Amino acid sequence: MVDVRLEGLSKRHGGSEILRDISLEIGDGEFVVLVGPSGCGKSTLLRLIAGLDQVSAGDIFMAGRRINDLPPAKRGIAMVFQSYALYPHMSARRNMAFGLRAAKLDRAQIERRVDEAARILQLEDLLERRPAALSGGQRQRVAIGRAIVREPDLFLFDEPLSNLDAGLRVDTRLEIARLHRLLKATILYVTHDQAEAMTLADRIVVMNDGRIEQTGTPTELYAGPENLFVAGFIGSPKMNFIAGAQAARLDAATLGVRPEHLKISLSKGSWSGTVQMVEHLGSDSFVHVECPGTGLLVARERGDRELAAGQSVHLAPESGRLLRFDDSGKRI
Amino acid sequence: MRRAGGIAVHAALAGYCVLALAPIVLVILNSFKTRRGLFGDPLGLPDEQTFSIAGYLKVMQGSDMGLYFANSLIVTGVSLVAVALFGAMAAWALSAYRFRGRAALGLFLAIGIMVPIRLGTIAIVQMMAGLSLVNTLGALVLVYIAQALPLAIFILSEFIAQIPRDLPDAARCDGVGETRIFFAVILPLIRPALAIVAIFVMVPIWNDLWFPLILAPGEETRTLTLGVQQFIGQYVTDWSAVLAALTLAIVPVAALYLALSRQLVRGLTAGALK
Amino acid sequence: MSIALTGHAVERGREGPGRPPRRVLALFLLPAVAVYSVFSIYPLLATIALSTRKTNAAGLSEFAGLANFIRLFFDPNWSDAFWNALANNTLFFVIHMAVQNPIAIALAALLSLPGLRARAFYRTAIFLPATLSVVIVGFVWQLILSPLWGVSEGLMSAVGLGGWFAPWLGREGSALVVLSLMSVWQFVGIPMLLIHAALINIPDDLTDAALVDGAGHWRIFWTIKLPLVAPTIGLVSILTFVGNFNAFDLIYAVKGALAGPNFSTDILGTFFYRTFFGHQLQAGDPAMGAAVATVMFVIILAGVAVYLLAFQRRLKGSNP
Repeated sequence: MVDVRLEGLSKRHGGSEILRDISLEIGDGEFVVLVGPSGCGKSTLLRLIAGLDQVSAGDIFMAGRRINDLPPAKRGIAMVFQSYALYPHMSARRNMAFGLRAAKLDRAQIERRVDEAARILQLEDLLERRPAALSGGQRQRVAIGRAIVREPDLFLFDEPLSNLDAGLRVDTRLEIARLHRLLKATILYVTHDQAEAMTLADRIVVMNDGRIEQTGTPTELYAGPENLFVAGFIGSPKMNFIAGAQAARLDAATLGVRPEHLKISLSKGSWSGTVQMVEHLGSDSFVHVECPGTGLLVARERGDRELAAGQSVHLAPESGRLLRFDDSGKRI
Repeated sequence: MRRAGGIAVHAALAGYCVLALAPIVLVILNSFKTRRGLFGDPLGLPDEQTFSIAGYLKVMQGSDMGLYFANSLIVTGVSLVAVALFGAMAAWALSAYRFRGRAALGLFLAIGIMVPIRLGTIAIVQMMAGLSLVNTLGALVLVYIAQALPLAIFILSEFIAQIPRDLPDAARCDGVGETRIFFAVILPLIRPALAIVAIFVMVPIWNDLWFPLILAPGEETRTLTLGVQQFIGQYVTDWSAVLAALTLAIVPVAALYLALSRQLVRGLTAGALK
Repeated sequence: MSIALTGHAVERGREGPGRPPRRVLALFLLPAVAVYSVFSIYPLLATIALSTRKTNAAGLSEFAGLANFIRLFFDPNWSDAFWNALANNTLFFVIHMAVQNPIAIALAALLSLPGLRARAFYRTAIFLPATLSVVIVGFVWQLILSPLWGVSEGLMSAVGLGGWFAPWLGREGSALVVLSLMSVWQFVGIPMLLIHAALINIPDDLTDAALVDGAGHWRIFWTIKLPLVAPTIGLVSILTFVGNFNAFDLIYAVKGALAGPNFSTDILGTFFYRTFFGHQLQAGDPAMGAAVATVMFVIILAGVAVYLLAFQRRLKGSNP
């Protein structure tokens, strides 16, 4: 395993700039998740590292070696695609062995690696089936198996869970986390789902519009977003934002407070308003409160607290939990 | 109302089917009759009195249909394999790689879809004479490959466009070479398209009269279509022999068509010519 | 179609695996491009070049400019036959358009009716003649129409039309029409299938909406379905045009190179063949043959240009 370094990476395509000056380091054995809205360039970045697209400027290093000009196969990477990209005319076993056979490994070694991967992924009984005869989750595991057998220095995952249904997505997420521990692999993982990023990552890289907005551990990003974009993107339901005179009073352009840091009181608070709607999730409830002059605020409450639409309530932020942003969106 | 409409529809379609099939059936039926039977009762089935295979015996004696058939088979088969392979390779290169002049090359190859190769016959004849290929099956094969490639590339491009690009990318990450990606991943995936190309390519080649007549009219290199045409020219007055020769020419093609008609219809209706 | 072919690749904008590996690219493209260039494009260009040359008194080839074309169009030795062939060819095409397309549309419309039984059988049967060699079809009809065999006459007598029978193929006035109809009979399956496919691809929602709006089936066919399959009818027309102005096999098989009686069935294809290879007393003339081929090329090119302008532009406009 090996560390990866990106220096000033840019990608232009047909006049538009898809990636701008991306610099990033990934440590040995680290699980890094690239997250951002669709079209932010995260998949392109993955393809540049894989060698499937060519960089316009900047350098990619692996273990200190510049790999810009190496073909994908020589970079020591393996990639898992969103569509799985399994060869439909080959059995699961042949899908997994295909790259090894191209590399002219000897038969016994191919056999050993495929069997080992199949054991780890619990695919032993499915090896002779073709992709069409496998379920979505099974196909996903074959695709991961195809990456594992290559024993790569770096695993690249391109939105691997987005074609799975919700229940399977959680299972497979746990599976990938388990694999990471088991294989001590270095992983770069792309997703647009911030919840996936939070649960999987050692470190999250938030991207927007071709740039890196912020890098940090999940808790760092959650507690200390550096700008409005990251503050709004990480966390569900979204952080509440308050602009205008109330923000100006605190020398900020925008104030931000997460729903769980808003306390609902029936008697007093900073803002008063009317309950519009209550979303019951069981353990928690999301309470939407319309505050005249401030806007719609969402507060997170214990699930057993009885509140009804139309009720008048007061809201107050927990002390020290109010974030302030300047007019360029940067946190103060 | 609806029912009456239905009957009228079936009557119209069935009527046209009779018009389409009757001439062929008539020829096949009468090829198995004596001369008397064929003139006396052309619309009847052959019976004990009128059944005869004299026409077929005449064809066997008077011509070398077996050889012609073999020639047609060789010319069509070799052309087919070459068109499928070269066409698939070119279609893949045109859609998988970006390179300078790609659009121009696509346009260049598309000319042949609309402009018939026959118009260049004079130069082809001179060229084949120069290459000493006149009266060889090779001359026909070369011309037919050139004739069929544009449409084959067009149809195959449509299919290749449907292959997700992750697939070759995954293979590249796997360290599979470009050539091997084509032969081990792409070619197996476009097999259904190759079947459709085969039908589109095969029918015009098998049925062609022009190039066999001009490039390979010799007794040894005659194709079935040319052979039948010449045989009938010689035996105009021997109706049994003419009908037998026609039947021999019709039956293999019709049988193959009936076997493959599902694919052919699918190919035509799949919007290959959208 | 050419536009579709190249437009497609551009649209997809595939990035490709790094730099296109030149060796691989050459390997994939070379066989097709080489065979196609050498045996299709080069002969076409060489033929056009040959049409501007003539053999001088010393037996050498020299540049002749448009002299061959002027002879072809205006020298009575050539022009009578040329204009005759062109006129016949035009009639051949007009009959195809006037008979083949309406029949094809009607059959396609019937075949596309929802819930039709035996659809596959009808389709297969009607298309069958198109798979046979033109030569075979020519002979089959020649026999059927022959007064010697008497099948046609017998059938017509059976329905009381015996007096109307005539050896049409042998008559100057009717031979070309009969040959055209034979060709229509053979090829009607191709436009039928293409139009059928286009009709099937019209979303049901459209016709349902029209039904809800109170339009009858007949009206829906004329005002909704037919306009929507117009591009396919355009495609069918250009395919017919190219096929007709390049036809040869049928006339040659039934009437021979002389396209009798008295050249009444002569079309450009047979005229081209005779000019190049010679016939009876006249020796072949490659340069004049090349001139005929060039004229055919220009006619076909003009047809394709009209088609591309009329249909492809409209397609692009409606489908940005």
